[in-house]
Amino acid sequence: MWPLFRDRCAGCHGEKSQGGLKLDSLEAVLSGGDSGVASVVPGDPDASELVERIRSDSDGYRMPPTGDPMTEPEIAAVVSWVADGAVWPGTMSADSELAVAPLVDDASFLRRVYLDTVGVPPTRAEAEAFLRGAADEDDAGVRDELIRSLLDDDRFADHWISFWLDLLAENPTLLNASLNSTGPFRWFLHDALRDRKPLDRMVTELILMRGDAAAGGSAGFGLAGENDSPMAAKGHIVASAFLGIELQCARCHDSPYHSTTQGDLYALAAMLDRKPVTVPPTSRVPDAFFEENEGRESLIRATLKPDESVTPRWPFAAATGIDDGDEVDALVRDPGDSRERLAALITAPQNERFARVIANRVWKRLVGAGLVEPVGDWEGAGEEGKRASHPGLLDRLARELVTSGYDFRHLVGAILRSHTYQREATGNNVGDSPAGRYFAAPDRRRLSAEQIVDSIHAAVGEPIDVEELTFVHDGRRPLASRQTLGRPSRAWMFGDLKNERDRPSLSLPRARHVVDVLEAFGWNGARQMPISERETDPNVLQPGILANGTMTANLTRAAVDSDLARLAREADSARRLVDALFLRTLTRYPTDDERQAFVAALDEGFETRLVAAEEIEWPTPPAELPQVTWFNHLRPRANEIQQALERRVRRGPPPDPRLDPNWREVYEDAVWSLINHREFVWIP
Amino acid sequence: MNRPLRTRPTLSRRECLATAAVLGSRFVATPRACGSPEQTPSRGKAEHVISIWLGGGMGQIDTFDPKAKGDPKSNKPGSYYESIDTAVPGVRLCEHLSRMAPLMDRVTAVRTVHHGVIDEHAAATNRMHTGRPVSGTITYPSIGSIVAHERGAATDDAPPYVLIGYPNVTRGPGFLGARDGYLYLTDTGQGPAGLSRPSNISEARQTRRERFLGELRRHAEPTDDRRLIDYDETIDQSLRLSGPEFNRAFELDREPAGLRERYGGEFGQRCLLSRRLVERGVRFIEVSHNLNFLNGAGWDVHYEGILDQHQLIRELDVAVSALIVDLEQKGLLERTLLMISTEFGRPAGFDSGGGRGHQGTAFTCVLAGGGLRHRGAWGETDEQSKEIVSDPVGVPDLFATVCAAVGIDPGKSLHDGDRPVPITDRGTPIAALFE
Repeated sequence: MWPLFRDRCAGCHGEKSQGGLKLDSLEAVLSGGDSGVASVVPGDPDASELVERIRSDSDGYRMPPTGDPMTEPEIAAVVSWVADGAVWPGTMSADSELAVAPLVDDASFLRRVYLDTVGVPPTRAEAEAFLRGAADEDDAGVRDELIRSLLDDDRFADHWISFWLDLLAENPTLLNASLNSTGPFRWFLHDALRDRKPLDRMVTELILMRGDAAAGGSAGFGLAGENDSPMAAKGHIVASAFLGIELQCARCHDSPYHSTTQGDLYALAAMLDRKPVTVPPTSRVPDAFFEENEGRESLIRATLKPDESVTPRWPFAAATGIDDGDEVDALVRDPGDSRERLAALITAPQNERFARVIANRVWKRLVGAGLVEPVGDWEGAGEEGKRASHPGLLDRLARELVTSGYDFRHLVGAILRSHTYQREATGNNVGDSPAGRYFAAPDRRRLSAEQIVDSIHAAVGEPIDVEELTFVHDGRRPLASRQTLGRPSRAWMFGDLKNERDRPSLSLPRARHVVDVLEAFGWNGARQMPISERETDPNVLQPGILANGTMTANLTRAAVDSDLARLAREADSARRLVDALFLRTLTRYPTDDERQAFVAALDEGFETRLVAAEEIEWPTPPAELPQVTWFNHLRPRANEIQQALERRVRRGPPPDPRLDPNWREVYEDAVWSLINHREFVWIP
Repeated sequence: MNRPLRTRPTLSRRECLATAAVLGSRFVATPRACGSPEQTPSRGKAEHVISIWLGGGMGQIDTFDPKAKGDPKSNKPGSYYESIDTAVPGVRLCEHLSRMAPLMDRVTAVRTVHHGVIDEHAAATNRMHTGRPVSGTITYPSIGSIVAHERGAATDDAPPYVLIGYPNVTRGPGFLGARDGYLYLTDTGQGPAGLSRPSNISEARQTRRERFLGELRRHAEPTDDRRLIDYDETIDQSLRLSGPEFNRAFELDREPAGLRERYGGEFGQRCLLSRRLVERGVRFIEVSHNLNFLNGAGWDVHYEGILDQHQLIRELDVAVSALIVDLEQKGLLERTLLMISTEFGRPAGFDSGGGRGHQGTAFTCVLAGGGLRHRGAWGETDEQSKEIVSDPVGVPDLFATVCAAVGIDPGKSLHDGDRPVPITDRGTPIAALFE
């Protein structure tokens, strides 16, 4: 019953124990709350108040009191659980959940660890070299060596930056500031990650919000377009990202399901703002709300009075183990600067929360489920001490981070080297209670949107080819109002392409087709809110955009000057060509069955695939189109140019005329199928 | 039970049973959880919404709320054009809306819409799509996503929400999540991105592609991991939807040539496509009137952008009047609510180039069809269309009207996790349209 109680009940009847009732152990359930009436009578659903309450049609009596009533299947599950004697835990874990999964084979490990460090699969040559080496030598040694070299790879920053962009709600806009837009502090973050800056220093510099907000400095983190209280927004982000304290509700009222108050958030905002702050009128619960809810005690309370001034104060001494006192003076340059104090309070080694929250987030990224869930809201996870499924392991990982000098890559490496990480991904830990998360196997993870886009480009051997993300190419306007995000070479470098005026002349047709893929797989360039975990439900647009979208259509073509065409021209047999395609796309050799099917198709016409020199007809490249910019975009001709460009992009590059078209199309279709295979988008 | 139960609020139980096949099996792999019965007062009887979006800010004083003529040369505030009578006595329109004029008994120009956002198109566009100010703690869904969320698609094999225009986060599902998002297309010659095959892929090639893919899938290691099985199911759905059957809805050349001509240019063709999508079962369609070829600026008529504004207005007039007549002739007008909306209006006074700036304090959005009791116009502004004189309609009220028209209780709440979020920002439907 745990997932159901956790999702529907534990907000009030967990740590908060409204009405004295907790629903987090059988003992608590049977003892009932303040009423003294057992909420559950084992074996007798009709005598159980809990069942009566969830079935009730009365708004004043039904549980849960807010949100949708429980669904029929949910109610049925509770009823049958009670009828069966209310056994807790509901069923003993199946053996399959307890059996430790075997380590993955070398090819799977290779693909997994590349994706988790540098964000792309290995090249064919890298794959062949590793698989050869792994076949001859001791596994652990070869794997550890590979991990070491990948942790030293500059591309580590290109992969892990997305984690930070989401958590910190980076949201730059190409035109006017709006909708919680920030500066492009991606550049600050990327430098810090590439330079292996210690994490405590990176976070300190972030919180200090320094440098040029529009030119990529951490000051860009401090902006929030159109927001009525930017520092409250930043306080919310900082508390969740670094401390696992969720203050979303505290923006307008005390948290109904947490111990945090509105005052906590605004005290944090005041620390960031270096001066007292008040709750803006637009972040208040209207009085009408409380009046309308008479009859049932309101779940929410607003303890701050309108216009009450909130002074800088560190509200999280209890949760973090560090208090704001003399010892902090020694850690800052200006003890009178509350922003600097906040940075020190978060990143000081005495703060036990920070390192554990980061370690837990990284563990989740790599293993698929957190030791504490939800990763951004530890209080939602239950009582202190019961939160982590493996408290000892969490402490150990946190210590690895602190004692390495807050070396983020060291933490990643410690997890990558573990057997837990290297086992077959057959686990299902993410939905279980802490007691049920055994991590006998890691969870299956889908590639992130960025990994998918980067992997397709890597597999076909083409760089990302889009226009510069800007409308002002020559610096004639200040970056603060007319931004450029440059020409992306990796997927993380894209941004929101909003075309609010709906003008073709303000479209970016090349970038659009890449962003279509990114968005289908859950990336969002307009991060109005911090994203702790992306939505991962599958939807029809995901395979759709890979099957039919312009990006894959163009990249899977054996085009003039493309690497795919070169590969086809230079192949010495269909068999070798098929092996190469599998290695490049799926990081493994084909099975015998697969090889047979693909080789049979590509063998036909293989010997005659090259067009005789005198018959080659080279395509003429189309004339360059004039540059559309902010300054000429209002001319009707600018629309026509961008629409012509759109048609060109959709048409794609001309095919390599040196390849026989009939054979080439079979070859392209084979490549298409590998990229559209489920295996391509799931980490092995 | 070691997967978290889904507790997302969705359709009423009965609707859910009826549409589970559509949404559950076709557009999302994980089935929706059904809420228990909810008493939804079904005030309106509309089944679909076509929302025509005039990006840039349509000047109400030059279109649906005409006043005495002004003169940019002498800087005299007022309308740019003459006004004309309509089918509804006392309701006048700008002279370039001559085809709309005889149809105004099926239309209500809501002349007293207002909000406080002025200078930023993106911010005002967001307001007019979500119906709320930006919040620091929540990303609100667009009205299209709200309707998609509450009503789902009307038939099997149709998506709930299609955007004919540039994709944008302001049209997105916000906290509701990707399942209530849109499919989009920018060119009526093509189906939606991701679900229409590239034109160079013949049926024979597609068959070969699927044969290769079939080999890979057949030889893949069997799995009982729900996540992989769900993803494989979406592959099958996408292959089916990008086939000829669904994409036929986008083939406008199946329409009689005379009808296509009556709709006019590319914008008209978008309107025609929206009718085909209604027939197909799409619940909410946004049609963007984004073609700023005619005057450069589109509806954002600062400075000399205003010189050819009349061409834009005529284009709108031709397309929307054709759409209303076509829907009516096909028996769809009563079931289809049309809304023309825009991010803000424009003031009576002129800027230094003879054009107009922005005005959010009073502007016009237009409703038509949808089974409402239309009255030509609703609400009154002063002689310069600047101050509201009577019957103000806040953006939440406009949204509540749309919700009520399509049978959604405008007083209900959606949920972002535990947090109840009123479906509109405490708006009230325009009662006079429901009498």
